[in-house]
Amino acid sequence: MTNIFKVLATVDRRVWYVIIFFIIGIPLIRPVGLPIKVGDWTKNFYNHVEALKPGDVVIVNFDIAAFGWDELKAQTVAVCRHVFSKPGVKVIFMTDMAQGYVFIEKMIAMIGEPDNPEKPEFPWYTIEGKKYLVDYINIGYFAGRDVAIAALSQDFRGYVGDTDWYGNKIDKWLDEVGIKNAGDIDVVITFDCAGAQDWWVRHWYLTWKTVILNGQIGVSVPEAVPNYNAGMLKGLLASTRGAAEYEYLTGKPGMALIAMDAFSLIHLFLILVIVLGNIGYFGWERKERRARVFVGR
Amino acid sequence: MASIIKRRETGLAITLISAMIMFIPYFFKIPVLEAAAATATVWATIINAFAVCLVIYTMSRRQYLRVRRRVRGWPYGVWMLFGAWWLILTGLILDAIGVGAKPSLPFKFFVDSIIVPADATIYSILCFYMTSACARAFRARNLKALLLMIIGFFVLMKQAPIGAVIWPPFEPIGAWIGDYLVMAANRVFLLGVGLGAIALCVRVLTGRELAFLGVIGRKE
Repeated sequence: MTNIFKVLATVDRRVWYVIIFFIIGIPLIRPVGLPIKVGDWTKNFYNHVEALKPGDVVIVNFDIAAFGWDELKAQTVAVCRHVFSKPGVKVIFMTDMAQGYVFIEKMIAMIGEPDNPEKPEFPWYTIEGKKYLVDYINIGYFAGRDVAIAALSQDFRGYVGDTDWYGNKIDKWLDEVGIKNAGDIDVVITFDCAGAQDWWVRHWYLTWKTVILNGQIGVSVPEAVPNYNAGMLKGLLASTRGAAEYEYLTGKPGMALIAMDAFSLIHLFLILVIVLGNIGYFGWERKERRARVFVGR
Repeated sequence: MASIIKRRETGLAITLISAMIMFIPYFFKIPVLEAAAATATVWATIINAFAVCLVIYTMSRRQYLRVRRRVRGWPYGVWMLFGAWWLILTGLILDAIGVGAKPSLPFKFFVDSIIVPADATIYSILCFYMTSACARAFRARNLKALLLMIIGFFVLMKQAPIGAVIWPPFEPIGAWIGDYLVMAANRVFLLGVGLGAIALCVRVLTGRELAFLGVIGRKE
């Protein structure tokens, strides 16, 4: 007779792979709408964006490489839609990752409308009624990671220069918005897959007391929590779940809320897998090991 | 002149002066030094940009040699060289000389259809490995493993969007683990890194750490 405990202790990993494939795939295709709870990290993030008033200037930094894009995409879309919906708020896009500008453009293409629909061309997109070079600009990529963020903090105008990522003149725009140095930036929102929040805290929060809001990929959340708990990050979005909570708060459901069923099911399945593995361990593997030790003696 | 530049003392002197330019404005308000620190920071970013050129050179040379000598896995070297130089050619050179759209279509195709999906796939398959690892490694073989399992259970349920809906205390218990247990360990680690960085700084400035000047293991 087949020993059920032995089966549980020695399940082929490919069996788990197949089950996982269906557990993730089916809810993504046919979401059932399992409930979620909105946490304080997301609420604080949302409240700070909601409190933006006309004249405020926001930097949106894409610390995003290809591997993190799919996890952060929903965050960037939900947050940027919300920021751009605030009247009179000016936005500066930038990135500290070489690939980042690709994802800034991808995100803008998702939430914006090209000014010329017949020949869409960056940067000429209108987002929630905000026009390029009127309400927002894209200053593009700055090499040097933390050194670049420090340089922006020390000499914002000097380091940015007088042109945007596409070569358009922006010095007049910066003058009109009233940005003389980094102290004139009210909020920094950084979407990270490589830990940029720490540098923004170090060079911007500590120097200028700038409000820093952070969206993180799941594996890096523990790195951001000490800064959040210390009050140096004012809001924190954790992975796709944070994006789903944000979509819920803004009342604009998107791809993250759809993914939450798969998230819930996969977490529950992981617990089930651990329980089954332990039943197999205590029912067969442990006895087997003891028997082997006994025979060895 | 060349001999002066190559001297260890010259490198150390430049390091010491640069460090002081960056260090002193943290504690004293001296406008001249503050301006110098800002300029030095911008210089650092420019040097960083040059480092990218150096990386392209060393990477290309290394992969070329691997391919030429047919060392194990050399076809990957061919693919790496092709990918890197394809992106440089289509993303930088075609743009610079103004050929076609900006960014050029071959560049966009490579990024959108190869880099993004491949990178995302590699990251996503972690999910499969993690499940398999949960089944085989998370077993209560002793007290420590049992504790790890219990903590893991609460953290998983806190992270699951449905967790707090099933049983509301999952949220505060998971948060407590993160805010106290994980935070304590994290701060110990961060303090260790900070103290280590200070110690390394002192060693560098006093000339006891010479690896960055490329003189380690060499008799002066």
